[in-house]
Formats: sequence, C-alpha cells, structure tokens
Amino acid sequence: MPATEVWGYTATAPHISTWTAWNTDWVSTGTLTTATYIVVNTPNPWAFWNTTWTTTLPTRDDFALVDSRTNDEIVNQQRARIEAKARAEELLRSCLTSHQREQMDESGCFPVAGSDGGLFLIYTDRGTSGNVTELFDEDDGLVEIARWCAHPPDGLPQADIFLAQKLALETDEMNFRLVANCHWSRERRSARMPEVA
Amino acid sequence: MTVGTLHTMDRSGDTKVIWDSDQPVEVEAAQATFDKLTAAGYQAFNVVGEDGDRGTVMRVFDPSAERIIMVKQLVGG
Repeated sequence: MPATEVWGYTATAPHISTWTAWNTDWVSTGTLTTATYIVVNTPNPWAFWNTTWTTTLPTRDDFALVDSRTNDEIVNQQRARIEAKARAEELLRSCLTSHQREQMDESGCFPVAGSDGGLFLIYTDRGTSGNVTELFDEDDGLVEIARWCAHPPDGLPQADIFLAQKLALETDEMNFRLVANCHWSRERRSARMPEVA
Repeated sequence: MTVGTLHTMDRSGDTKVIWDSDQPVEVEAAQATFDKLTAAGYQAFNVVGEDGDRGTVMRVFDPSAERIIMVKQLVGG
C-alpha cells in the first residue's frame, strides 16, 4: 500500500481499511412479532485508525538547523534594510539644498516651495503618512493649514518617499494636490520651523 | 563627454544605471531602462547639480542629462 504523509507522520493508508470496514457486515439478527429489524454488526472501524502510523517528527538537530537558517535570513534582511536606508538617505541628501539639509538635521523637516506657489514642510521624523504640511503666511507668522498624504507604492525606504514628495511638489504641485489626501487643520498651529527660506 | 546616472527608487534604496554619452551601447541600455520604467508607470525627474536645484519632469530620455530619478507615481495615503 502506498504510504501517505500528513503533517510529518507516515502511514500505510490505514484510513482505507477504516472506511472499508465502515458500513460493511450488516447482519439481520432478529425479528419482532410486528416487524423485522436489523442490527448493525459492524466491526469497530476505528480499530484500524492510527494503527500503522509511524512518526517522522523533526529532531532537535532539525530544529537547530531551521533556527540557524531563520537567523541567517533575519540577519540578511536586516542588513539589506540598513543598506537600503543608507542608500536612500544619501540620494535624498544629494537632492537637497544646503539650507534644506541643515533644517532637516536640526528640525526634522525641510521646506519645499511648490511649483504653483504653495509652501510646504516635509517632515522626516513622523513617518510617511500625512507628513507633508502646508503652510500659510499670516500676519503673525507661518501657520499650518493642512496636512497632505501621498507617497509612492511598494514600501520604499522612507528617505526615498520624502524625495519623491519633494520632486512631485516642485515639479507639479497641482497634481500632488489632486492625488494626495488632505487633512485640513481645524486650528491653525504654528509651524515647528520658524524660518523658511 | 557626459556621464549620466539614472536612479530607480526601489526597496534597495535605488538602483543605478550609469552611461557615458559617447558610448552608444551604454546610451541605448540607459534609454531602454528609461522606456521600460516609464511604460510601467514611473515618472522621470531630471535633477541638475548637486545642491538641490529644482528638478524638471522628463518625458523623453535625454542622453545629455546628468541625473535622472525614476519614481513610481504617487498615490494618496
């Protein structure tokens, strides 16, 4: 009989014996005065169940091997992530002005002038959702009027996303507004960065 | 002679294709990458200089460009 392997166990198809035994050997064994009745005289089909199973459970060495492979994968993934982050940050910094770089290092955000005259801050220390703040120049200084949320798909490193937002705002601000989700600020808050060049 | 670099944003940070404008084979390879990515929905930005000068959207590959950054179209978050 062909062996069947399920979840690490091997069996020589005992289930076939079980289901063969099922519903066989029906025997009529008695009568009543008013009717004939039948008694089911089935041999216990469960006697076949699990009788020929042999275990192939993984050994301690197997677990150790899996653990070491998993650890290697985790280390490699972490290394790749760190390298990707560094590469993306290098690309972002190379596309910023010296003023933007200073502001990013000091304040965790850098200013961007949109192609249609809008003034924005791209925050680099609050994730990538709603991290683009639009500013408005009021009499008493710059205030935040809205937060915009748009980013490229596919899980890029954060610095790549900031650069994509910057390029989009600088080249086609209107399209950025059309694509992005907007959260208008109910109360006008003072922008974190007092000086926007 | 111009040495151009095409940066494609991806999960590894970015992947670079570098070409020498005097080498037709390299220009052809860079243009093929550019065309393939734009057909796949990427947007190309021509970035001039190293100090954050404002970029421009590039619709046709220019072998004389110094830096091109390819980004997938933004989506609302």
